[in-house]
Amino acid sequence: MRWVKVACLWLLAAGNAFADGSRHYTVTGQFISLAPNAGGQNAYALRLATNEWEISGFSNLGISINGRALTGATYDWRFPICDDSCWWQFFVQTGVGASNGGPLAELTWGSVLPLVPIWLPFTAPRYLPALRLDMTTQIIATRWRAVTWSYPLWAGISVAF
Amino acid sequence: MPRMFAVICFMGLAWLVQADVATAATWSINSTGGVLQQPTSHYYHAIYGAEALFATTNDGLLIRASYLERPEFHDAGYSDKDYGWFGLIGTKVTKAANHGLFAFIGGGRMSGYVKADPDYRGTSGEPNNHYLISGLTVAMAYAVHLGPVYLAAEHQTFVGYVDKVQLDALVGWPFHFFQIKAGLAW
Repeated sequence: MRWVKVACLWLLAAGNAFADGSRHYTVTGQFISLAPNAGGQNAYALRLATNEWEISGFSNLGISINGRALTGATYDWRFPICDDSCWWQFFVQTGVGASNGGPLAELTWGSVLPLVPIWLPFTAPRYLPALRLDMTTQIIATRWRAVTWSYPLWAGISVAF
Repeated sequence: MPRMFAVICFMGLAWLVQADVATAATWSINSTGGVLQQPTSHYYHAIYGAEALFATTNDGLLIRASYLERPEFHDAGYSDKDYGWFGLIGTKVTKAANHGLFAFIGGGRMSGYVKADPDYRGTSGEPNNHYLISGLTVAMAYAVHLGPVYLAAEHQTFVGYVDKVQLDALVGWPFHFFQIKAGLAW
């Protein structure tokens, strides 16, 4: 039981860490994505975010560009509906980026849910893994047309620090 | 359940008709037009529709009901069509007064069919294939109020429900709607 008490105190301390009002960052790794066609897609992203912006690099092994996986980087402007002062975060993002398929625009509806018991009464906890769920659309300007590609559900793990 | 639903409806109506909300609320009726991309196709199809939008003071809460359809398309002895209806709630995520970015989330249904063309095939014309899927929908809109005129450009995604077999195969059913909207607000 002692370790449970210690863990709870640590969780409370971590949760209150955002109360100081200082800027903090969240790093996210995304590694499971649905695809808009049979066969699924293996898409990976590494993201660094604040409440105002997010930068990311991604690679989609399900889309081939001249024999290479679609790979690129994006900068997104984040518009929180409920930011990290909320226990459960919601936000939308609009972004631009570059890839080996061409320049792209990105639209995301995202959510971050702490992977801790629901009764803990604090805001988004620091240093603890959280589940991130995105619905992302990329519009990629290829040579001849704008291709809309979808990540109907893009899941990963976020850690704030 | 029906009694609870009635109580919720009554409370909602009472909230809507109270003075502050009723006098400050905005209603708008909008027509929409744009393109649709289906889950298994990367073509863009024309689509049009209409929506009713309710917004509270400062656009803190928006409630929207919309209907969209792709006109029936005929080719090679078959005709096909898609249509959908959605209910969404939203909020404004920027601060400027008469324009800004809005975020919506909700649910809806997409439906459609492919059927043999009786003039071409001489068949009964009964639908050969009809689908109806429920799912989650999200949207982002940039909207402007010019007096009573409402204008917006929007991207909406609808993701249909998938069963366990499809989920195990990492398959989703996203529909994309890129739309321009115009209407009247009061």
